[in-house]
Amino acid sequence: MNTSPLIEFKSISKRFGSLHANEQVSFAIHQHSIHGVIGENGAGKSTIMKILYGLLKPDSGEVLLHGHSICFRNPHEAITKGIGMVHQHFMLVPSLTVWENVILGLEPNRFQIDRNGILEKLTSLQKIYGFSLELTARIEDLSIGEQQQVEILKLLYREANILILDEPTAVLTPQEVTLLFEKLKTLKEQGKTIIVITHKLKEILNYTNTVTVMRGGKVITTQETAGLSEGLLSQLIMGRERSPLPKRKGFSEDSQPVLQLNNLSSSSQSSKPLKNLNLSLYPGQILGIAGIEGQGQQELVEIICQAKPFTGSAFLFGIPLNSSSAYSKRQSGFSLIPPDRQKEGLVLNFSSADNFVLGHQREKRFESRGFLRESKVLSFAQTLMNRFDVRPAEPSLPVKALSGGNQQKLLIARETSSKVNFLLACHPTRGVDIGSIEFIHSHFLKLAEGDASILLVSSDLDELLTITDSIAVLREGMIVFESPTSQISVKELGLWMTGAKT
Amino acid sequence: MKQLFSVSIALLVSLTFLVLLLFFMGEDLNALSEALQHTFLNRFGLGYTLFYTTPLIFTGLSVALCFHAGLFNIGAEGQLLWGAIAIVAFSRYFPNLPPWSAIPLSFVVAALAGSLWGFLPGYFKAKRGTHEVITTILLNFIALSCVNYLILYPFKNPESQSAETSVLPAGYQLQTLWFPTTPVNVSLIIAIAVAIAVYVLLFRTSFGFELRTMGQSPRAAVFSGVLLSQRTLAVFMISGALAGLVATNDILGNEHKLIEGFSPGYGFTGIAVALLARNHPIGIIFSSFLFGSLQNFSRELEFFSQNISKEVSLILQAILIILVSTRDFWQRRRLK
Repeated sequence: MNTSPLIEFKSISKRFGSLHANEQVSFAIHQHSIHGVIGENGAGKSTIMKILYGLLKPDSGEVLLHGHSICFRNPHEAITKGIGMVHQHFMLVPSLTVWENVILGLEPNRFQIDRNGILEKLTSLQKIYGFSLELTARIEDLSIGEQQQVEILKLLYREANILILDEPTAVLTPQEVTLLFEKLKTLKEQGKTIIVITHKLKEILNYTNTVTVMRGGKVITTQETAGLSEGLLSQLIMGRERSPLPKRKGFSEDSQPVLQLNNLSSSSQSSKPLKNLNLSLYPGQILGIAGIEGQGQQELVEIICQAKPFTGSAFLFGIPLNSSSAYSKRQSGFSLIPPDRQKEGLVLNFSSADNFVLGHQREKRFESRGFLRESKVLSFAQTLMNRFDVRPAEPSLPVKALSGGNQQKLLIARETSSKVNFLLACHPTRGVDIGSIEFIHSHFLKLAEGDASILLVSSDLDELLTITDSIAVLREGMIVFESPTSQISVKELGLWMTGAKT
Repeated sequence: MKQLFSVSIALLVSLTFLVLLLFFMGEDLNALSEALQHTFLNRFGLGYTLFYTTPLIFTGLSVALCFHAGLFNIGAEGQLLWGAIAIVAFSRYFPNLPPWSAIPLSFVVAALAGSLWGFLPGYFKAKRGTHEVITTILLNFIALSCVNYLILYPFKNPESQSAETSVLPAGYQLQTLWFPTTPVNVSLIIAIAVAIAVYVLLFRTSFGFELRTMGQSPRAAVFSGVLLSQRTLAVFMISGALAGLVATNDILGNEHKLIEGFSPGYGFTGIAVALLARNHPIGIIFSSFLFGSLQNFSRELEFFSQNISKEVSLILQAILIILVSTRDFWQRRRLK
């Protein structure tokens, strides 16, 4: 690369209290490229991008754009200079249409909106960049992938030349991911520069031109992607080699199933009711439930947790689901990692220690005569935090002070620390960095080795293919496909999930 | 500490407001200092202030306990009315009990009656999901009508012209404590002890842990195996019992009879008390003292001034609450 860089970070440092979020960060991004920024949670990827976008101010160092030093005070200034950002959580108004969302904040005139002019401009933009959105559709009727395109269209309409995408694929299906990166490629060819923040190796390797690897607030390397392999990249990110996952010993279908669902259907009002579900889960088996978000996964989890009524029959540990209380089920080895860890699994305002006893508060080891045994709780929390490497390992700190990945580790530590016979795990590695993913996966495999059964609800196909014994695809409340994992490919799975194959 | 600071600021503002009010109404500012003296500085004044503090501790705790479990108890007023009438009824059936059994049993009876009235909104919430704000407000009206009926007909004092019950038997009359000629009585000590007990219940027991989990995140509570309906019922019954205890202060300790309209809205002031203390049981003791002083102070001010009525306490309360509850707002502005 002989041209002068478009953006250059020069020795940027940023501290939050005692934490060095960015330390002497320097790297350059060239025009007309897709540049990946990868690293584990807390590596400083988002911080450096927020500095570029004017959301944060660096303590020292400078950012150069076209060789000139810049310092935006807010995102608005960044946009006027042609820098736009798509956040992980979309900033769209669901009840407004696509074009209304695009012009939101840019209404040209107080009393009058030149609807036709705007539509014309948007149509030509769509033509140039290969988008095919229905401009008059409401946001709430669009899929997640389409909503993301609206976010990008918003930036294009504002004539952004540099697009920053923060974890753009976290919510997408495999097909949508491919589509997104094809769009990004077109954008690049039309002269835009794209920065993608991610922690997924494959996306970096398959789609980016250059990559910056960050670890612990520092830049480890910035180089062309072409020469990198998956092993090398993960080594750069983690600072160590990937450890191989333990081998599976398999399971037998001779014994009595741990969980058995026969003709299970929802009996309450629901947007995605389950229809005649049949499933069996045997001791030591890891069964994956694949599917796009919102195909009835939530419903299934709630029924198993007895939060919702159903028809048909369901047996857990050989006894009917509704014949024992949720609490006594927990006592006999039912563990749960709920889909929304912040609302369902943890209490954010409670301390880590209190979160460790949640669900175990009535057990002898933590309670005597109705009183919680504080010292026992604290030492239990401390032990588990050390063992599962939850950082900071300070049990009295509120859980909301932990990063998402650490919150997830805390949750998994709690749910798997006592005897587990049946683990219902929903998206256990969502928003978690690769080091922790590896840890969680090997932990699950160890549990299965000890004859625990795991029902793994996930939309991450890599995850499902890596650790499950068999996979069932859930679509529109029905199981449309079930197969041993060894006989199934990513592509096939994707087709079943989207309904291209029925 | 922060809370103490913002309360002091709020007090200062409301005092300034009061001075201005007195000034523009052409009052003698001496009335203010007289009233303050008769609220805090002499035995008689302090005694009355403490007497007004007691019921607010009970209702404040009643509201706060529910609030920790994510529930709103607007029904303390109705619960305390049933507590009052229950004491009267009990004393009529057992008029000859000696004080050592009559007094403790009256506390129990008042708490039970309040807790039964708390059971209703708890049951509707747990079984039918009826919103507790609606049911508790409506149950207040029902309680008021029923209790007024009982005062005016079955339990009416035939020798009196006013709407009140007969005087309680001698065994049911509490003696004054420490402050002669004022009605301060043992209820105050009980109230403080109960506040400590509620603190322990909330922050030291597994039951309290479950309540706080419910309040912070009902879904997390469900997924961790807490039976919400059971806990909702329990917490409403305890809250009702706390509110029921209010009656002991006034009926056993002061009037020795139940007069129609004896509560000047203790149940509702309890909401403000809990809010000011951010629902902390120990903090409620202090915020009750603050509101108790306000009540006594405005009574005194009415006495010493020409044209100020005791309702000025409501204005002061309102200023306090607005300032304290918008604390976050002011702080955010300072940050900007």
